[in-house]
Amino acid sequence: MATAKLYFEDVKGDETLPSFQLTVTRTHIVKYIGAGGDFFPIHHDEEFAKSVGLPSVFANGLMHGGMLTRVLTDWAGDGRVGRYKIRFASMVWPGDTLTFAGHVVKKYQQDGANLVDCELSVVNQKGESAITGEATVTLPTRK
Amino acid sequence: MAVDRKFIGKVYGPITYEIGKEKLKEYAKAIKNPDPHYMDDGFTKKSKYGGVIAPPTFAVVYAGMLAEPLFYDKELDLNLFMLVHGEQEFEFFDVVKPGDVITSKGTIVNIENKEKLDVITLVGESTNQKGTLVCKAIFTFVIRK
Repeated sequence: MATAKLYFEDVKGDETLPSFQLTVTRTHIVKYIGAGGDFFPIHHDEEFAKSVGLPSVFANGLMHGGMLTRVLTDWAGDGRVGRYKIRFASMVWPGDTLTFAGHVVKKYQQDGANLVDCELSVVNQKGESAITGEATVTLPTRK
Repeated sequence: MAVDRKFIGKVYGPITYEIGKEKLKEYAKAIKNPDPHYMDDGFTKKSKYGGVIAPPTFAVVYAGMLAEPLFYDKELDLNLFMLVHGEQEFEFFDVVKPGDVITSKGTIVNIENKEKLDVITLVGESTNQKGTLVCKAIFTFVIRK
């Protein structure tokens, strides 16, 4: 749960962020579509997906792209993500087991703000990248 | 057929979206982030925000609506079956809360014609009812030829 109270002084600069895993089901996908609003049929209509040559529906990138933010919010707390950039490397299918992970790459101060840069990833059970990403969080100091 | 670069600068929106509390909770559950800041009324009453806030990527709901007029733009005539979401970037400037009225406007800032694909970059800027910029969203779509 992201009730973390992390301060800039606590960051070493190379730590690993809390990771988690999830096996994707069609229910995860349709639940995300209902909440997110992207009703392009390739993500929820199995017959349609097969008609265009795909083995099944596949997840909207921003489903696991949204899930990945938990790596940041569980660690840094809320309202602290300033920049979040993700690249979609491969499709995510029902049955895939995804590992969501991240680590700190840089800690610095700029224009009076205390910033920490992180690298993020979503990898499937075969070790293939689904997402690579980077984020910057802004942290308070103890003083 | 390549996407014509003359559409660089084309604007979509403004689109207005009012943030609803239950929608934020539904979204937080769907991205499997059970953070109490997004869904626990009792907890958030005592938080520094005084109520539920939006998960950062909820921007895909209020700013992501800009993608729809782009996808179905008859002038651009995109082949949606060959379109994939290549990259997504967000910059967040302020928290978003229930009751906020968010207005988003999108601009095509680049179209690249490569040998086997076209790349379209759409930048969305979302402001709240006070005129404060809350999020800048950069969508990169790839259309295979």
